[in-house]
Amino acid sequence: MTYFLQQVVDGVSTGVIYALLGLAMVLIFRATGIINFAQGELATIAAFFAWQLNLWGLPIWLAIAATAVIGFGAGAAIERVVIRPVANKDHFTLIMVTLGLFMITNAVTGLVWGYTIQAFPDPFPVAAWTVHGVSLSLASVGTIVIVCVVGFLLYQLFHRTRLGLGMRAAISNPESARLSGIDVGRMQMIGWGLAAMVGTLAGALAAPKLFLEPNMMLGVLTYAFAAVIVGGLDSPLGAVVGGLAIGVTENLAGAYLYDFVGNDLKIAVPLALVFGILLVRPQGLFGRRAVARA
Amino acid sequence: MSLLEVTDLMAGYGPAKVLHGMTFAVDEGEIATILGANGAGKTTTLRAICGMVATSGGIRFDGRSVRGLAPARMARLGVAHVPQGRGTFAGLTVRENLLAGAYTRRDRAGVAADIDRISQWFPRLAERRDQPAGSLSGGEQQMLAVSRALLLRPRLLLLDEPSLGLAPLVTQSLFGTLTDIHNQMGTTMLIVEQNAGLALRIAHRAFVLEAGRIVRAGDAASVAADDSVRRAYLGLGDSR
Amino acid sequence: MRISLRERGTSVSPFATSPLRTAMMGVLALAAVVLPFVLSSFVTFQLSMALIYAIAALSIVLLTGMNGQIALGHGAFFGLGAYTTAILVQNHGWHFLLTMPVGALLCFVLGVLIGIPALRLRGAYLAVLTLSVAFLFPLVIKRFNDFTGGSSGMTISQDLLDAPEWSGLSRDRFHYFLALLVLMVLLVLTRNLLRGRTGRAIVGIRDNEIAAITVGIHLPTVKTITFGISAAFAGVAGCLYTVTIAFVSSDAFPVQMSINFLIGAVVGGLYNIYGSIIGGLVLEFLPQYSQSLSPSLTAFVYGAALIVILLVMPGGAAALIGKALDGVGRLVSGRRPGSGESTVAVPVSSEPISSESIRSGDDDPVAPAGSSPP
Ligand SMILES: Nc1ncnc2c1ncn2[C@@H]1O[C@H](COP(=O)(O)OP(=O)(O)O)[C@@H](O)[C@H]1O
Ligand SMILES: [Mg+2]
Repeated sequence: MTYFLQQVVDGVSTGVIYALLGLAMVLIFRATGIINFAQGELATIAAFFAWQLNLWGLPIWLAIAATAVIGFGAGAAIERVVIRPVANKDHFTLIMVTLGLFMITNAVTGLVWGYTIQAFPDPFPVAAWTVHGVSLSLASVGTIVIVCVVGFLLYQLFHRTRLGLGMRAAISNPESARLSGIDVGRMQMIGWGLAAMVGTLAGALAAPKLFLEPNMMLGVLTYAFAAVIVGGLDSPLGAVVGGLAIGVTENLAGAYLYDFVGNDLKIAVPLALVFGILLVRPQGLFGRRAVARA
Repeated sequence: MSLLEVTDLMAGYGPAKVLHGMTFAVDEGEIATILGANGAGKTTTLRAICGMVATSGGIRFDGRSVRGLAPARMARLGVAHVPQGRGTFAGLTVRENLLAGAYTRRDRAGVAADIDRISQWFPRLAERRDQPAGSLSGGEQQMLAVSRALLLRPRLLLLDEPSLGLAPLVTQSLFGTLTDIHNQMGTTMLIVEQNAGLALRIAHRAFVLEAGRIVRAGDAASVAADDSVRRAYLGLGDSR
Repeated sequence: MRISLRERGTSVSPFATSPLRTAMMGVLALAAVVLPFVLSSFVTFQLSMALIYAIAALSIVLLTGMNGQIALGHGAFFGLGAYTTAILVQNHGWHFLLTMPVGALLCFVLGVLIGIPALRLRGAYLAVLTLSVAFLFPLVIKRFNDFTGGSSGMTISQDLLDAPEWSGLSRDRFHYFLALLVLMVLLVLTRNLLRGRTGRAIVGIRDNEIAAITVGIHLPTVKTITFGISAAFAGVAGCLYTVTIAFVSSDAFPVQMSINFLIGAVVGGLYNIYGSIIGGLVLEFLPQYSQSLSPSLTAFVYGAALIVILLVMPGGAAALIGKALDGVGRLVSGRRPGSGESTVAVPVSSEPISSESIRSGDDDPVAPAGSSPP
């Protein structure tokens, strides 16, 4: 039982990273109706940036915060320069454009920082508690708390502020939003900016576990996709629950199905589950809208 | 001076021209209507006024040229537009729809007062304030779209076929409420309609649009008495 | 349907009939045959790889360009074909030519199996599903490393890949001509498939599924079979890859490979089967030059090219060449634009109509969204 609980706890602490990147994707989907394949790479480049600032002497938390602010601007700029011109194009074009963004971001990261693995400083001090034989590290607890806080703030933003109302109106019915005086383009820019901010956090929290290198987030991206698909692309809560579920499943599969799946394939188990779910409920468990239009 | 002056307006979608030089004006405080068959260009006219399609010609609102301004700018100037069909935010609740309509306003007290007033005009909406707009009936959605537009405190309200898809009784009560709103708030309205009978009954002034051109204009009573209008839009014979 | 299948003057296959096009075809064919005897064996090897990537790009053109299903996982089929050949040749002593039908069949079956869940998914979801397949493939290879060699790989003895005695060719030349032959056969097959009823069904589904159903097209069958055929093409390319390179490892088939195939198809021309040849050349040769400057440059150029092409020229290089040839043709013959000769090769090169024109029921859409410069 202790062993089982330990696996669940460990699963949760990886799952929150997927949840965080998933939240970023939901933000972009809610703002612009786009699934952003570049989300993971944008998080990676942000992590590198924070790492660089830290290397230049900024304390790590300050470096992450500064990167998050700069990330907001960068995300907004990407929306304005790359996404806006294709906003009315078909789904395929949009996906391909974010794929192009994925490759460019990945390349720029490699160009600037190279492909050697770097150690990212752990933003949390090394400490752990043991509760009924289950060990909880400060890093895990801290990460979980951060994800909860981010989720809570986003919820408040969307449901309790004028800006959030404008953003929701703009995605619900852009035409009527414009006619109500809402600057839809600005809402979309803010959506991308916020997503980049959340993505920065995801990158910075993932980096100490994964080791910093340009392709670090590829696996996380695949999982975050799975998380938002389970949760529903337009549901922030779904992204969190989906992310946690995937982290836990992955860990349990590694613990209990090791003989069969091995270390390499344990990550296939949650993906398989996700596609099972997708076949039964194409709109995800929490999503309201089927995003199946081509 | 007219509140809205449109001169030699041309508009279209890409190479397809729809409006071929429309000239008309709406005075402050009146209800005007544009009648026309399906495809005549009524919707395009309203979209042109709000900067939603490419235009040439002149559009003056309150004496200043507004042609080419973005829809959000027009809204901030006080032009509200209830688009044809779906004019609500389906995923937002009724209350949130109204608040989104008041997005440009900073006077919280005024907004609250307006919401109260609208609840009296449309009691059904008040009952359903926490339901998502998407779950409302067609008539309720249209009421919500009108209310949403009213929350802008508009100086000019553009309505695109408010009767579309509504049962006759619902349409009548909606037009009744529009008259009430006009009487109480003095809002200038430009209503586009295929249902000419009802529109002519509440309007002061009427224009007939055919294939992108105004072919008849005048006060509502005289347009309603015109033989060709009676035949074409009111489904009646010649007046004897 | 009627709208979607109309011939489009702007997107005629650059290799379709006209004296100029025929002449160009002739020159290219001659070059293809003569080059391996003129060039070094290394360049011949590179050309073989280009042909192999062209086959992979063709599989994307068929599935994504013609049928509208996004394919981000074809590296997995390519890899499956590659491992089929590697294992059958190295461990079971098969002749490599015989492994190709097996690889094609396996990939066809896997493609249909993935095509079935894909039926329920559109757009981004389908992209994510296929991307996951690409992501999982190397992991599966590692998991079964007793069998596949995992990440340390598996080398195929060169003598098992020698040219047959009767051909009288060197190994590299033989591999080259084999790839060329396979590409030509698949191009002809695809062209014939896309002509006529089946082609109308495949392209019709891309343009408007509802309309396709109402004219009696059985959507699930057409889509899954197209998926299977496309997967089989990619698998055959993978078989040829092993034959040419004589080495496979799990790291040789990363996610990036699947994305690259799609990029090759887009750059060459997603709506023209011959565009895949250009795609293959780009995929083989562009990295050779950019890599020597900086290891990240390839990805950067691919990413930038992808965005620019989608914005400026969704028809890719094929559409560009087609336009250039039309221009030259007009200059030579003094004909006016739009007169005659624009009624060739319909589904083979038809571009999708814009969704706007479907929505408004417009009967006369102009060129597909954004494909024609103002
Ligand atoms: N988005 C559009 N793209 C192209 N043509 C359009 C579009 N919307 C309307 N039209 C065309 O413009 C003409 C006038 O349309 P509209 O203004 O909607 O007429 P009405 O509102 O009077 O029924 C019609 O012929 C219609 O086909
Ligand atoms: Mg209309």
